[in-house]
Amino acid sequence: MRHSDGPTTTPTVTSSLDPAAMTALQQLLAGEHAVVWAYGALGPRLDEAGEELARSLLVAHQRNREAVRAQVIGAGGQPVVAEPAYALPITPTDPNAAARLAGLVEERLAAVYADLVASATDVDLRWQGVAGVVQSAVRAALWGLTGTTFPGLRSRPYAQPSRL
Amino acid sequence: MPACSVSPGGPTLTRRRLLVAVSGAALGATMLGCSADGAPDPSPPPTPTPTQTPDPDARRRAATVQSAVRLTAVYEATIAAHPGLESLLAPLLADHRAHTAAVAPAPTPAATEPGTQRPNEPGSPSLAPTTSRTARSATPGATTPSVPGDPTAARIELGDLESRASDAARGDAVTSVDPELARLLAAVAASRAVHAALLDPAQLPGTA
Repeated sequence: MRHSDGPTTTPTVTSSLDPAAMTALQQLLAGEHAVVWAYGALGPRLDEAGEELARSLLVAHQRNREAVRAQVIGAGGQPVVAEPAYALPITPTDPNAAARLAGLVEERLAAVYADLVASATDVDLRWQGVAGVVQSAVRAALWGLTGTTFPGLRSRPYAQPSRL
Repeated sequence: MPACSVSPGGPTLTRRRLLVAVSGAALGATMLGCSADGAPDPSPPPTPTPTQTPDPDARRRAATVQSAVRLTAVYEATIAAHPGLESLLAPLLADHRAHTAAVAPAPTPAATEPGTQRPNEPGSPSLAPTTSRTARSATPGATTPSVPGDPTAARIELGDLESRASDAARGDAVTSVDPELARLLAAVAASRAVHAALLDPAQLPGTA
């Protein structure tokens, strides 16, 4: 995990958050960085309807990224910064592949939110996490992703930098 | 005590605040029911195994299982009445059965040692229904659900039921004492919200 001021690995400022909750918030911020990057990469490959959806979701993720960044700062942390690039699990060569990629990144973001749910130490963070799991799962479904028995309870992709 | 008090044992949270948070979260959320069928809080939760420490999340587990069992019954009745909907509904019905198995109260309370029930390992939450327990104690009035004669109306009714059940699971996820139960209930809430979206032809035209 990279920080804006160098290789500091733990927030050292007087954090008002439990360390596990801060880690989950930072992972959420890292996840939003990756999702924003992914939408930028896959957007141009979509068909017209998909492109419209991708545009609106890109804006939503950009806003959320800024909100989470402000949250991290507000809690005394040093917000993680985006990686220069991310390895895509699916190459968006055509509209179908691009839509699958979009569904996949939303699904994986649900898992990051689920970690926030489990590590949240106050009700507001819990709400944020639960709403995020629900929202990400529905967005994944908007992209046609199926098989959603337990959204958010799969892999934890954003633990490693430079990977989606 | 208000009819819909949310959090015995959980983080302090008023119902008003829950409603505000839900409406803020949007996504087709309708309203926060006390339980999936909109009835007020049921009478005290079924007593778990005697002589054990009470599970502080017993009410949340019971409410979620109860709504999953109810949804299962409505799906079964809807498929029986409208076989043409089976291909759409069967996978969603399977989800509800999986939710019931995963959320049903454990044979031994998880309250004191949650880690022994659901290992908190990233990437591998224990969700397999490891026992064949059923949730009969949580089964609501065992009447056969009535199903609208029109398939589209039946589908819309199911979607409404899913939305309310999703909101109820959200509320229980927020107030769960056990963080891993919170994670699980968030997944249940998300799955139900996806179902509601899939059942709404206007929302997902491509999947109808």
